[in-house]
Amino acid sequence: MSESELSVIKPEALKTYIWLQCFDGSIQQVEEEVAMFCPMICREIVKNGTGSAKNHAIALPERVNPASLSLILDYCRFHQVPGRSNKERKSFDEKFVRIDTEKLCELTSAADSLQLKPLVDLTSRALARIIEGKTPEEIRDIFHLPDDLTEEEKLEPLKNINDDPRIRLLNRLYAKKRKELQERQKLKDIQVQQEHKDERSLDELLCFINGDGGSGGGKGGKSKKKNKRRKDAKNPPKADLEPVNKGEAACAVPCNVGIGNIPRAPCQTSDVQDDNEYPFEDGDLDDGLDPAMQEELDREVEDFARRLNSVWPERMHLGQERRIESQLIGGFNHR
Amino acid sequence: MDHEFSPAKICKSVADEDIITNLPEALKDKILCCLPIKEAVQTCLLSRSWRYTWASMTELLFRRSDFASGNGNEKDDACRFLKFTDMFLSLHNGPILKFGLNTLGIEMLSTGGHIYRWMLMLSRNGIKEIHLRTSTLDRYKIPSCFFFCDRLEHVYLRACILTSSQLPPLSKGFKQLSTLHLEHISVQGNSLGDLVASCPNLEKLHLSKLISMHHIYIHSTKLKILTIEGQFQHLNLHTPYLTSATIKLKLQSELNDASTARCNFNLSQFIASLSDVENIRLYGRILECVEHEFLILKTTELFNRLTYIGLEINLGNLKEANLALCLFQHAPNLRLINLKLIPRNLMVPPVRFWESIDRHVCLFQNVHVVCMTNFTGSFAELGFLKLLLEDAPVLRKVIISDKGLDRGVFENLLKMRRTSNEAEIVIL
Repeated sequence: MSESELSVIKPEALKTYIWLQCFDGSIQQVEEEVAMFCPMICREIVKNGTGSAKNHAIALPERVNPASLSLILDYCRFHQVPGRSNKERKSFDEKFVRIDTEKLCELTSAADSLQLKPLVDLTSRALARIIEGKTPEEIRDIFHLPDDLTEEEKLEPLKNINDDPRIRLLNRLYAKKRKELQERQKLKDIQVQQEHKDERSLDELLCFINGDGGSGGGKGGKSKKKNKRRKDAKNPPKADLEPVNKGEAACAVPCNVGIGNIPRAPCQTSDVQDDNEYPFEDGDLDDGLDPAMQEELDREVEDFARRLNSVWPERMHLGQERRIESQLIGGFNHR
Repeated sequence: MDHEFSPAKICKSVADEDIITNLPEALKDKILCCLPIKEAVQTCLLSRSWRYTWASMTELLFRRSDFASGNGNEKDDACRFLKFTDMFLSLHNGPILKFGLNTLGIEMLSTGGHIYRWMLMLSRNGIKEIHLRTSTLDRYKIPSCFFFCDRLEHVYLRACILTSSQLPPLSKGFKQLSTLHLEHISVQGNSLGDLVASCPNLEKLHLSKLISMHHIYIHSTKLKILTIEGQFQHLNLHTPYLTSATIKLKLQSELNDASTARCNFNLSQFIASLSDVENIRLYGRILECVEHEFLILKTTELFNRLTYIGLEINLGNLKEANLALCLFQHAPNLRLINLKLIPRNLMVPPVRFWESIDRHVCLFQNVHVVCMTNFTGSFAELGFLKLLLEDAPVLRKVIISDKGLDRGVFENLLKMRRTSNEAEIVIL
């Protein structure tokens, strides 16, 4: 249909053609006005004057294979016709990207190499739609990605996505406990610090951002505060739980090297999604605990620790593995 | 280019199937930027080569709504949102060109603090576009590091306070800023004018829900589109190359007597200087509150490109009616007129303004459509309508919305002679 429309606009005899050559050597003839729609081809024609004859064909980039090229030309043929309504264009685009995912990837790559921005946008969005809402396994299947991550690497973020309710509850209890300890010891101190939170000087902030917040002596109020909190958290009644808390301390202050942990990129990645393990604003869970409730809380925490005991040995084991692993990745990360 | 393909080829021979990983980084970035940010981060679970791809995303949009857990615990959700954003930014690596934040519907514990931190991060990473849709409940002072994001092109800020002491020296300014959109903004001093002056390439300035008690001088020869809406008392504009000008004045409370509220605005000068203008909209109480003399323009200078005029006007007020007439006379290509009528001062004896107009020049030569809202059928309004219908040869439609017209007015309307054959009157 677009062909017939074209011939109405421009009689066949007056049409000029351009020769295009794919990387595999195949050469084809294309209407100039269609080919000119691609900025890369347009530039070749205008600047270098190529493409006017078969032996002067425009050499297309490697990423453009004949199949993608024919799709791209279809796209250009439709969109270079003036006077189409937005609705028409949109429905064409929608149908256009309903192709096999592999072809879609090739098409995206080819369009990119021809600098055909509208098509790159269209296909990237289509690819994003394919990915959206799927599990990693599904995405791996669709794109034939190698499943080359260790179980541990996969587990970390997953654990957090899935929100293990037990860990969640335990951490909430811990948060309360920590809070209560804090309350008792340095209520005033914290208030002062919180008031000053937003008025840190640029230097302090830079320190914090550059990752030496913890080592800055009295500076870096925020990370320092965090350190303190985490240290408090390290002294709960149950020793079994310590590894978790150590991990917590290291992850919660991503730039902090003061604690003496190795930088742990993968672990941090996972923590981005973690929402409950390290409550950011523990202070807000305050509900004015009286001694009776405190005792009850302690009991609950211990009870939980007992119930989780069966799971912990495995967790601790994983924790160690994680540390070794992170050493490797940490090194890679700090290249 | 070659080095880009050689590893890809090797990969292909090993695992022929992996069809997305070998795309150029820029394309993978593009795909990730189309995903909700949480899902983009989750791609780190796909395979080793995707482990850190997300960390160099160039366009980030953090939406509070993505963190709605649905269990009704707002505070928890907000915490997770803030922490996610903090974590993401602290682990991010490389330039961030676009940063969007949408926290409408939550109160952040200290917006200023968070935004301060994030803005500092952005200012060091070549940010070009910032859109912060924060709740109006917590206003924040624009962080000083914002003024060091010197590659900014588009800015949208909401619920912020701009003080003049923050502004950096003019030489530093935003050389590339083309769009500035500020909403719910409180301005102190002439900081707004200074800000505009520090943006030599600003083309679009949109100020809505502005609150200012001080003098605002906006002088720019680059500005094309200007919208100012809100409460202000002193406004001085010199923006001769505007194509679209919208000015809307609100009074602190509608109960406030407009006769005592005054706005100091160089309206006549401003309009007279607009050589390229295509749209003029003057809404709110601007015509009423501005002390303007009768608008006098040189007859030789026409607004040839002016096609749209929108006014909130009391057609019975001599001063306002004269301003409207003056605009109509100088806009030979006017196609659309939108009048929001405010019938005030009904006690004042009617002026036969629209009847007394000298009729040897056709006033509405090219007018196609006229909208009149809040039509009451007052003497002046009917007078204007009569003039319009008799004087507009290509008029197609007059749309009138009213609050209950009486029969007499309808009869009057029907009686009016129409010059244009196609003119229809639609009463909504």
